[in-house]
Amino acid sequence: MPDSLLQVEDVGRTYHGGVRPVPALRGVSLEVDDGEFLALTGPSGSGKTTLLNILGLLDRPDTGEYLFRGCATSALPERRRAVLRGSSIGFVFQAFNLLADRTALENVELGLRYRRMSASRRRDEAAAALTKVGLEDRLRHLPRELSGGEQQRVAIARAIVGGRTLLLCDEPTGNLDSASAHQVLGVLTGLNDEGATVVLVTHNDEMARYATRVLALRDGYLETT
Amino acid sequence: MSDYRRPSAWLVAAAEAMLSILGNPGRAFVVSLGAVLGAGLFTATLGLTGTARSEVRADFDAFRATEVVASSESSDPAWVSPEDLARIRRLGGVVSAGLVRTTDERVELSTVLDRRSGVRLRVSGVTPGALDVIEPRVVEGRTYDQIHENLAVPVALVPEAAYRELTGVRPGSQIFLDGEAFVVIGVYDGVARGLGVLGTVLVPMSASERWLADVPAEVLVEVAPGAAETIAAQLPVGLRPDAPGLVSASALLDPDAFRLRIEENVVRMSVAASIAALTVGALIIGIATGSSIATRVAEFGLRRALGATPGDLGLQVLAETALLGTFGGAVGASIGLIVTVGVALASGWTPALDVTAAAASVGFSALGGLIGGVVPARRAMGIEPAEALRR
Repeated sequence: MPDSLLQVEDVGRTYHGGVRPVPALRGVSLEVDDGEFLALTGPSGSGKTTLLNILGLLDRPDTGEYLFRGCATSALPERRRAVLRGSSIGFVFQAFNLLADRTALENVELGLRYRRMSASRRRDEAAAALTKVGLEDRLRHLPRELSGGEQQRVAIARAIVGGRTLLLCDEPTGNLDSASAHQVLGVLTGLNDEGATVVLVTHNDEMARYATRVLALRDGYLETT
Repeated sequence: MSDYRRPSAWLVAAAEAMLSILGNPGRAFVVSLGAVLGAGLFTATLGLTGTARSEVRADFDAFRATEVVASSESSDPAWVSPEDLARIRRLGGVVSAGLVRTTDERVELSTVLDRRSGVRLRVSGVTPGALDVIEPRVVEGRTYDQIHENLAVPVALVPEAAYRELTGVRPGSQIFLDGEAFVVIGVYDGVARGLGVLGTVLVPMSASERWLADVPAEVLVEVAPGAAETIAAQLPVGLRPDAPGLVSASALLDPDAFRLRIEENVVRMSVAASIAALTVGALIIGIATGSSIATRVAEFGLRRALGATPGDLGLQVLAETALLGTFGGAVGASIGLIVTVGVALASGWTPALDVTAAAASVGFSALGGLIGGVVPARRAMGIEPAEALRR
């Protein structure tokens, strides 16, 4: 039986910014194994992104506990969470979130700066990651010089660079045409085959089929499909 | 690992700050505008002040000490002779010179109509040459001259206070100094030099022997502007070549102190104005950076997602504002120097470039940028990554 990488135990999260509290997650529990490709589906507002943020240590649950590699994260200080995030967790966003004034290489090596990695090693690692997603000839290109699919592959390279093995992908194909979307999912599948754990948030059932397991969220509750 | 050198957090922040600045020159320009203005005003204000100070100094030089007084430790009250005076009058820079003796004790001044006035004044024996130095401001009548001196004519220049207090004191009237009759030749209300005689009754030296025979004489010398120190140095030998050590001479009423005080005030005001300018610059940096933080929330959210700690973001913002402050300060200081030169030349002045002030303005701008970045840095540190990434 594979090791359990992520454990979510009865997690709840409510937003209090509006007129009335909005419960985004209600008692969600799940486990994600090392090397798994999990898809989280559900309509808008079902809590997918909230759950992904908690998995990525970008947010904290109001109730319940989230364990990363067996380590309870709720009480971890912010600095420790940032270090854990920087070393182990990669994000892929729908809007790519690349810095427009940085080349593909510079975008990929950005996170490595916060790991206090030397410049030469940063460049080597970033170039290797870009090569892995098939962009070895686009290292010096700015985002505007790349297609949408290529930009998303740069974002994937940024997510895996430096040995990160957990990829949290929030609607990574939402801004792509079908061909580019399948190409990006192909890259993610390839990385999963090499051992990376992938959590894919999508409301597109076709894309969810790339995953080995699909979980659905509705109104903050988790449903098994 | 050998190639795993760990740059400090500050180095990472500085590198990221530099990349952010170079990647967004427009934003950097707006933010650094504060530093440009602050440093520019700082340098220009101090530069123009320096220039103006030079002009003030030049103006004041025209009114530099024009009076030198020499006295002697000699026991002989008549330690200086007419020949000695004639010798120093030949010195270059000497305009006029003469002797003054002033009583230590006050003598009673009375008139025919007011025989026991109770008015007691000191008496100064003043040679016509010394009178030229003193330049008493005569409000009525006239001054006496060499003929009065040579003939020991008992005439007196009376201070205006006595003129007001005593009945019958006017030019041509007779007064009595300790019972000795003098004719009032004039009334004066001030002196240009020789403040020691102000308020005394001025009489010819030759006519004051009764009171002044035992009083040591002082030599009053009027000199050309700027010559006071030189003449003061030459006077001992000039007056007493046989015993210069007995003579001490000093330039009096040097307006340098007054000038320096004015300069200090001008500088103090300009420094205050300059600091205000730099403060404004720091505020502009802070406000502009604060505004830019609002537009960079998603970027900071991404950085947090990539492993940046709140401290990393705070350091980056501080590094950015400090760098922009430095850049802006350098540009502003350069502009300030150019403005100083331009204004000085246009005004026909010699520009006094204060490079130290320019360098200081760069340093202050960097510091101002750092201080201005504190609030934006705190805002950046407080950004919630999950919230930021939704934008």
